[in-house]
Amino acid sequence: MPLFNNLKVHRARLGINQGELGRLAGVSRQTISLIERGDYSPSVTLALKLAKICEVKVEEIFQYKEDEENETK
Amino acid sequence: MKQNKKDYLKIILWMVLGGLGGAIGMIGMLYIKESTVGYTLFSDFANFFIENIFYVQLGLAILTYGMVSYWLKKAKRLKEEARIETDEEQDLFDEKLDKLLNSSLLVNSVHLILSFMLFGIAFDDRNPLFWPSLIIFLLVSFVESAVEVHIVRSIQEHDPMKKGDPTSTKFHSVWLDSCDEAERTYIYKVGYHAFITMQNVLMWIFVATLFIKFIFHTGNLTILIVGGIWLTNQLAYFYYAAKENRDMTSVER
Repeated sequence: MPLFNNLKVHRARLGINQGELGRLAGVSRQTISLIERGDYSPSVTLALKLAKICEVKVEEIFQYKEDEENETK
Repeated sequence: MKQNKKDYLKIILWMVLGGLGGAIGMIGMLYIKESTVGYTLFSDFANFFIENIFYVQLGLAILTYGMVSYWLKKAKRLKEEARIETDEEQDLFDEKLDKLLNSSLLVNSVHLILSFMLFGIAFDDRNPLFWPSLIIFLLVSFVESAVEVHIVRSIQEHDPMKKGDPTSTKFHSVWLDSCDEAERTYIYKVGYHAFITMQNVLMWIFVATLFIKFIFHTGNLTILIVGGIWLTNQLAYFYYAAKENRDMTSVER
């Protein structure tokens, strides 16, 4: 999936754990864990909500990067 | 070759393969029917099974509850002994707990269906222990439901975001509403795979029912029942697809 994120970094900056971030965003701790591991791409709403909680722009947390194979085409 | 022609040839090839499979299956079934030894063995086994079905019900119940009690006790111990400090440890703990609770739910649900099937077979003149079969079926139905409620409550205790009263008829819709987007995606994916699997399985069961009708003259009722289930599965899919499509494309908001 070409969506990369550094949510873990921003969460660490806030000094909260996955459970607390999940509660703030209205999702489960497991969902935050999946997003941080890159195993789940959140909806636009959730991505914006997470950015708002972290007090940064959404693109500072989530970046869309084409893989090398696609870029050469 | 044009794509259309390729598609038609592929469909014909699948039909020929299906026909060949059917013919081989039919020859096999005819052989079993013609073979007196095979037929007698089958008939003797069926009689023995029905006469002793109470013991099968009892054995299966003991086996199921043994496994479920073991997993639930292990899950309880895991929760009591958990010392979680990091998110990684929490991930590992959740994975272990999910595995134990899901295994219990799976075995419990499978046993409930099997106990219904066994009770259906137990309804027979050849079963000398009909009343004990009925009692064990009622006991199993109660315990199965109690175990399922207990497991759902355990999940809710671990994850307070999960809502719904497992004894209510509205449980599934309330539960789904309380799931977040990732959990819903997971549920939808699982549901879709289950639907596709059911479509394939029902087709094979239908073919098996046709064989059984021709060989053992079981009549058209089994064809109607299996066909009805197949049709319901397909229509339910199209009904919900149309409903979702209507909601998504509706101009009025």
